[in-house]
Amino acid sequence: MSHRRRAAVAVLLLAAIFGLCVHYDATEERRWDSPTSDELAAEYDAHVGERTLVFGTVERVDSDARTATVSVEHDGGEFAMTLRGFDRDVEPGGTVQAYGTLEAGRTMTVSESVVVNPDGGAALYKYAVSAVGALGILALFFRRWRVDPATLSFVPRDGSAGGDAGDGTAVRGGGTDDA
Amino acid sequence: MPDLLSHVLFAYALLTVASWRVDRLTDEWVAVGVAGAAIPDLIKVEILVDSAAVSRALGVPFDVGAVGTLAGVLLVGGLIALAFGRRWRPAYAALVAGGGSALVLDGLRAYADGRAGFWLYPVPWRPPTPSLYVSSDPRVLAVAVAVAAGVALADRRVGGAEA
Repeated sequence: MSHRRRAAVAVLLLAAIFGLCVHYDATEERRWDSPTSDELAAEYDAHVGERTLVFGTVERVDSDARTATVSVEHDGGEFAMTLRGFDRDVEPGGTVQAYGTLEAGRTMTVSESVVVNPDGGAALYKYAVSAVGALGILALFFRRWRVDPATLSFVPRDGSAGGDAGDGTAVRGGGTDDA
Repeated sequence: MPDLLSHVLFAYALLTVASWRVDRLTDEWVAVGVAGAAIPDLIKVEILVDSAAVSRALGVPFDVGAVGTLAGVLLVGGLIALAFGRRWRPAYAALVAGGGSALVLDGLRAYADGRAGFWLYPVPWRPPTPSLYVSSDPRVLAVAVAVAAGVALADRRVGGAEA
């Protein structure tokens, strides 16, 4: 593939990825068979009695009354909801999912819930571990591949099993397809 | 999602086991596939650029979450494969395999209504999930480390069965 053709395909793919992100958002409400947070924010009362899944950040838990107040994010901001029949162990700042029936007054009677993050503190753990993952990818990749300046593409490093020191069975990359 | 490291370790284990059977799947391509496992994690750019903000700025609907789906992996994988010049075909296959493994792993996460997210998009369907874990669960990483270490050891035994 010539550089020009490669650039053209890259532009096409970038446009397609952008289009995909637009389509994904545009069709969100059609895909979900239950009301989305945007729909609940816009016209909650129209959905009373329906069953839905909400994702929320915990503000308060009252374990005696088995209720929790969560903040539900939507495209324009957030709104508060009361979860009735919620009896999970979770701190304010934690994130939960609740599935149940919508009642009047932004209240849900919960039939099933999941604690995604018990205290909001898992974010740091995830960042740290993901950073290790990213470094691992780079280390593994560049042990086997290098950038060939002539073709501006990745080519395998020489070398048989293990080391970087080539010993004959080199697979040289590039060179044959770029004018 | 579980963390990126778990995605990477599971993809490494899966592709390494596959490489014992598939001659053309050399260590080079396993490394590419492992990088592909990071594709669905690219949705984390949300931390820096909020989809809703992009949507408001451009005046069109926009959700970067689409990248963390089957269609997203197929397109972003294609973009990355271009960096492999004339080897783009095997690169694409490896990237999609790695990205797909990360999607499947994410599809096992817990959902309160027992159905996973739209990871098969453009298919507008939420597949059932066994709800095995939540993303903040460190045991996922422990299992991933154990599995990858076991496979790495076995791979040494197999003794570079690369063709």
